[in-house]
Order: sequence, then structure tokens, then C-alpha cells
Amino acid sequence: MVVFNLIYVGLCAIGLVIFAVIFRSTRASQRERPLDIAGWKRRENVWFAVVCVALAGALAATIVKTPWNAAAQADRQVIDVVAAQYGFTFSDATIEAGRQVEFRLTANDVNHAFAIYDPDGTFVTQAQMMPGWPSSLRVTLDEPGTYAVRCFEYCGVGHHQMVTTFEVVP
Amino acid sequence: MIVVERVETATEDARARLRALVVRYVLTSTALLLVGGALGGVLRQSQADLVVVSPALWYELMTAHGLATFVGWAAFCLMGLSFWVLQECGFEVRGWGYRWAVISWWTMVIGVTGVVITVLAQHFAGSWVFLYPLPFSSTGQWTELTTALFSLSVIFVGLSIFAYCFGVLAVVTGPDLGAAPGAGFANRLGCALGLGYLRPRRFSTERPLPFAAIPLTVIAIDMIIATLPLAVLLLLMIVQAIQPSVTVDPLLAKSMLWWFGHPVVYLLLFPAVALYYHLVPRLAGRDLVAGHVIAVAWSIAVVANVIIGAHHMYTDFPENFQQSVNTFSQPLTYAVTIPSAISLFSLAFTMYRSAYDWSQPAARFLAVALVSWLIAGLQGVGLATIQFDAVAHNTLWIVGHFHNMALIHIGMVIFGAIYAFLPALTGRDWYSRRLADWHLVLTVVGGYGSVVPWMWQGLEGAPRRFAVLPGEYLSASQIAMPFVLLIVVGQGVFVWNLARTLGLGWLVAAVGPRPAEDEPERPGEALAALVAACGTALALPALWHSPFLWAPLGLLLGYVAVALGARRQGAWSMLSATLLLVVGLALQL
Repeated sequence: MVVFNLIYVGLCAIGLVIFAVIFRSTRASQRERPLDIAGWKRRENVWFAVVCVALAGALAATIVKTPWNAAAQADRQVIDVVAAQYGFTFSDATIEAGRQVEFRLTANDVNHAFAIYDPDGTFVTQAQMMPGWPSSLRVTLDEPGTYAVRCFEYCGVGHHQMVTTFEVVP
Repeated sequence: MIVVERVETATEDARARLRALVVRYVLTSTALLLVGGALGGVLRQSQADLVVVSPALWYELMTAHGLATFVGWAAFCLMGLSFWVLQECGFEVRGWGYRWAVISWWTMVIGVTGVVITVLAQHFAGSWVFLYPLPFSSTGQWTELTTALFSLSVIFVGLSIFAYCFGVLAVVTGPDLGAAPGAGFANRLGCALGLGYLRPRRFSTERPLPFAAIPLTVIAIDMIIATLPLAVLLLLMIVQAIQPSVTVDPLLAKSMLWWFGHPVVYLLLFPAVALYYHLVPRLAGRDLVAGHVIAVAWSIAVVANVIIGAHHMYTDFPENFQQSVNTFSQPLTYAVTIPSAISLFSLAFTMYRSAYDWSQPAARFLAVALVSWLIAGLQGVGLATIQFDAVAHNTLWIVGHFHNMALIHIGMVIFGAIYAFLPALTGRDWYSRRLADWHLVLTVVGGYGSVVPWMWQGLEGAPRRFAVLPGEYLSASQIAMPFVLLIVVGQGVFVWNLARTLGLGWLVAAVGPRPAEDEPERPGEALAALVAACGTALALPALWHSPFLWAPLGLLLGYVAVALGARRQGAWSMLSATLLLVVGLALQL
């Protein structure tokens, strides 16, 4: 997340500087030499290539890690979680720290989502819970303590009350 | 000679009808902005724990706010402005082009009215994405009849989008395209997509295709493809309301929703790009600096735009085909950013070392919009990245992103276009350019001051669509409130300027006639005095609740009043706000 934010802020800063230069260039003193318009049209092809390469690079750097491709470990704990307006039901609300846990997520009525916060209140991960379409979220929670769970998909007028906790023990 | 005069008269009548229609689009959508924006202000202040509304009402207002501002204001206004851009580009909007534009206006008005009734009178609170099967599981908040009426209303909105698409396609493939004699519809469509820049022999036209026509053709094609499945889903929802045994698979319904839900974002962006392509060269005094690669970029967009909706489902990953769909959505979404990157380049270097006419309000709005496009567009690339979306999805970061894109980018383009076009549409010059500057400053400062706290809260994990946010996010919500107020005041300034420009009878009666042309400009003195009075009124609650919130709001409005010209009233407002802060603190102690 920090890397994403730094890249974003850096790119915005570069863009702002470029726009500042462009806006200043509209002053009369800077318009004495005619602009090589044909040249800038050719440079647009180079820009097109730069953008394609940058996007391909970003894709190669990030596509390998997705929320659904965490390999299942043999000794994982399996917890069934069922969501219904407006609460979660856990098959077991105690989880072992440092051991992979697989949450098997289902919903009984409407779309919900399962978002986990660690004991410090920091967001950990999330997955949607869709009626009729179970999914598995595999995660390893290292820090013992009380974790909060919030529904992250709008599910009706009691949505904000759909909160629960589970314990991670050493 | 008589025949020529008749043709000219008929053409001028057609143009006058179009001008009136476009003004109708602008005024109706602006009214919806005021309603939807006010609802947004109520939502935000409730989250900031000021005047708290009940959760049920909050979710109703959330549903209405989304539809009123996104579709009713931004999309609706851009749809109207699109027809005027085409007219100014040499495509006469007549015949079926004009008829579709009229149908689009009426069906949108009917649809939005239905949405307002079902939400505010019948308490539908399924959110503006009405994620199936939630509309049928209301826990007693609304009935299935309400769901059916809401669905029917949204179908009318969909019909409006269809009519807009048909109208645009009728105009851009019509005789003013200048395609080769006998060219079929497919060939003319290819010409309107800009393929003539890549294969000039096959897609030849009498004149170079105006670049503004390309994004409008792209979105017209895409929205027909994108809206059809949603219309089917809405029809099925009406059937289910009557016959409950008829149901839809939730994954299929979600896919149908987002098949439409992402392209509809570009129903805002692509017409906005057309406005840029039309107005920036005019203000810069030179043609758009665009090579043939711009046609390549739009060819990518016309395909990629309608198959990337699954990036809204990155956090849905049942173990089947959906995981592969999600994975492929990342490169496809990246691809659709290419037209934006190329357009930013073209527009920036159209301005570069040009005689850009900064004296025009439109010039300043569009310059700010370009910068906002970059800022919000880069956020979009981040969001298209699965790794980042996994932590940002359904947090307030998303809310910050789309308000950055919709209000402080596309909104600026809309306002810029209104400032540019209204004199030609109405034959009246703007009442005050100084008020236009205030509109710009207040909206941009208020906009970013409002968006940044959302993004900050989102990075901290604050969930979106929570009527009552967890306590740890309260302070950021309260910090945003003065900036929300700036947005409100900014739109008030705009409406005031618009009303005085149009010389609405009731307004003239209330505040006096428009000043003569040779009088010095004294814009909005009465408005400034009103702002000052609002400042004092707003600071009053500091006596019994949150003095550090209400008193600064009063101070802020007092300052705005001073800046607008009501120095004495503004100073009194600031002084009274300071006194109320002191007394409020003393009472609390």
C-alpha cells in the first residue's frame, strides 16, 4: 500500500510540474518561436509506446498476487462463515495465530462482504459473500488478539450494524 | 432564390429548436445537481455527527443522491451538450438526430421522477446499484411493488441512454459526415470512429473528421451494447415482483449490472473528452495536436470499454470461471486508460506555447479539469490493479476517487462548456465573469478539501455506505464539512450567475434589473450579503454543539462574503462567529 501511494504521489507531482510548464508557456514571451506541431504529433506515437510499456510493466509487477490464488496449506484451519442480514455466524470463532486459516464464505440472503481488521484497527483483507456462490479466503493472521469483521457490501438499512469479532490466540 | 431562403429559414428554425433543447438539458440537469448535491451534503453532515438522520432515511438519500448526481446531473447534462458540440462541429442535428434528443430528454425526466418518488415517497433504499437480490430483501423498508416501480423508472433512464445513442449515431453517420457516395452504414460508422485517419482510402470523407465526433461515436456504440443486459435484468426484476418464483442467479445479475456499470462511467468521460477536443483548440487558437495514434487509442476503447465491468468484482472470487475473468480484467482495464493518456498528451500540447485565451471562464475551468483528470485518472489505474483494489474496494477511498473524477474533473468540464456555450445558446453574455471565477475556486478548493479526507479515511479502512461510521473516522468527516460548505456556496454562486444571465423574471423582480452594459461590474452584492447572513446563522449552533465546527463555518462564509464584495456584512459575520465561538466554549466549560 505504501509503495502504491508513493508511486501515485510521485506521478501526480511530475504531472503537476509538466502542467505548470505548459500553462506558463502560454505567456506571450514564450510564443515567439512557432511550435513544431508536426513534430509533437510524431512524439505522440512515442508517448503511446511509453504508456503501453509502463502499463505492461505495472501488470507484470502486480498480476502475480491476487486475493484468490493463495495456495492452501495442508495444516490450515477451516472456518465456515455464513452471512445473513445483519450478522455473521462462525463455525468456530477462535483461530490460531501464525497458522493459515481458510474462511469458507457463504451468504444466505443478499450480497455481503467479509472485511477483517486486526487488533490495532488496521484493515487486513476482504472478500465478497454471494448467495449461492461460496468462496474461500485464505489468510495467515500472526498477531494474537481480537479481530473485527465488518460487512463491506451494502446489504440493507442495517448494513452498518453488521459487525462482529473473532479471537486469534497464540 | 426563394427555395434557398426557405432552406436557410428551415435550417435556422432547426438550430433555434436545438438551442432551446440544449438549454433545457442544461437547466434540468442543473436543477438535479442542486437536489442531488443537497442530499449529498445531508449524508456527509450526518456522518460527521452534526444533524444525524435515521439510518433508514440515510440509505434512501444515498440511493437518490447517487442517481440524481451521476445520471441526472452529469450524464444528462453531457448528453445535451454532446448534441451542441456536434452542431458546432458541422453536424446539423436535425431529423431523427433531433427527435432522438427530444425523446432522450423526456425519458430521462420521467425516469428520474420515478426514482425520486420510489425513493423519497416509497422508501426504496437499495442503493443506486440496487445489487440483486437486495431489492427483494428489504427487511420491511420497502415493498416489492416499490422495487417494480423503481426498476421501471430505471428502465426509462436506460431508454433515455438508448435514445441518446441513436441520436448521436444518426447525426454522425448522416450527410454531414461527408462519406463516399453510396457508403453503407458500417462504412459510415467506421468513418465516424476515426478509422479514416488510419485507412483513408477505405474510410474516406469529404472533410477531415472533427476529433470530437470520435469519443461520441464510441460511447454511443458502447452504451447500446452495455445497456441491453441491464434492461433485461430490470425487466426480470419487474417480473419477479409480480411472480416471486421467477428469480435471477446473483452472480449473473451482478455481472449484468457491472457490464453496464463501468461503461456508464464513460458515458460521463467520453462526452467530456469530446468537449475538450472541441473547446481547447478553440481557446488555444490552433487545431488539436493529434496524430493518427489517437484513432488507434479510440479503437481500443470501443472494444475494451464494454468488457471490463468485472473489475468491479475483483473481491468476488467463487472458485470457477470468475477468477479468470477477474484476472483478465486488469490488463483490459489498463487498455482503456490509453485513450485518456493520449488525449491528455494531445490537449496539453495543443495548449503548449499557444495563445490560450485565459480571459474566458471556460479556459480556466478546462485547465483545472485537465489537472484533475490526471490526478483522478492515476487513481483509476491504481484501482484497476487487483492488489490495490483488494484493500481499497468498498472503502471511502472509492468514494473519494469517483467524486474526484465526477465532480472535480468532469464537473469542471461541464461547467466550462456551459460557460463557453451559453452565450451562443441564449444570445446573452454572462452576467459576471468574476462570479465564474468564484464558482471555480470554491468548487475546486471545496472539492479537494472534501475528497482528500475520504481518501485518507479509505486508506485507514473506513467502509463506504455506512450511515453511521465507526467512531475512529469521525474527526476526518468533521474536517471535511467546511469544504462541503464551500462546494455548496460555489454552486449557489453558479446558479445566481446563471439566473441573472438568463434574466429570469421572478429573480429580476426580487433583486432588480440586470445592470446596463456600461455600468461597472458589481457582481453578486446581494448574494454576498446573503452569504454573510448565512454565516452568522450557521455559527449560532456553536452555542450548544461543537463550537469548533460551527463557528469556523460561520467565519468561512463571512470571509467568502468579504471576498464577494459585501465587506461590512462579511466582517460582521466573522466577528459574530468569533464571539459565538468564545461564548459557546465558555458555556461548555
